[in-house]
Amino acid sequence: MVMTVANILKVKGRIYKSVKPTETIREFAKHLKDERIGAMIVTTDGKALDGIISERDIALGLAEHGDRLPNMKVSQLMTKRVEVCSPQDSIEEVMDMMTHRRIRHLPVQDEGELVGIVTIGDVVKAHLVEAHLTTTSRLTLARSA
Amino acid sequence: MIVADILKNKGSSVTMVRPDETALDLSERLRAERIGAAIVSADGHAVDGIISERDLAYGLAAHASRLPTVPVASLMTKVVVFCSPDDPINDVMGVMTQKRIRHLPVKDGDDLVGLISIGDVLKLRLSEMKLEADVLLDYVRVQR
Repeated sequence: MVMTVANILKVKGRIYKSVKPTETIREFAKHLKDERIGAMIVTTDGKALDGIISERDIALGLAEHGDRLPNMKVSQLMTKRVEVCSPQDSIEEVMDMMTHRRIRHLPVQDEGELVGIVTIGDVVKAHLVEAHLTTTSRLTLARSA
Repeated sequence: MIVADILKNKGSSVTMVRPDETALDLSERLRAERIGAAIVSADGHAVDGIISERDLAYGLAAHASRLPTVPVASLMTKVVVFCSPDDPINDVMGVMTQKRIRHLPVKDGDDLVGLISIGDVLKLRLSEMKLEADVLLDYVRVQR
């Protein structure tokens, strides 16, 4: 059995946290801290994916913008060309994508509709479960042979 | 596969900042070195703490426009979780997911010998999985 993004969403739910492009970086930072998360989907209407913004954008933005950073808008700092995955993608495909593009958050779209977000932590966790299952089923196979 | 396998590729150099350096200094270092975390050390040996992108982001919520001048010491995590070069990758993955941390300094005895990230761990597992798949393919070919 190959585990997919859908399996992750089944556990964590089809939910994602979002911020409006017009909110300030200070407000965004407060959301991150309150929710104890590392990134948010940027959307105006709660449906269309305008971008994604993460703690990395703040950490690196500080060097460039200094004390102006907290009053800047989310739209000025977000990543607009967003990489996405689909519920049918395997954990391995998502691992590959995150590794090669050096990203830690992937929004999940199902036929154009935003249905969730997976993090590198979710993927590692799912992979651990999958590796454990594979070992168990191999053992069962070996015993029955 | 163990932590030492990651260090073999990545090397054992660790980016360090002093506790009295500012958040702005740290941000510049992270950007220049394309990394997400640094070790905080006053003397360049003892680990006083660890500081990451997350600490800067959460720090902005608290300090707003004063953040650039806030010293690293007041933003860092002081209770640091370490791993050792002999730790299996699966154990390290477990620690990272359970404690929700993305960076683990590596200690060999008293010496700091590296800093690994969840991205490094994922990359190694991926190459290991590809290797396993190749071995299985070879096996199938030999059987025919």
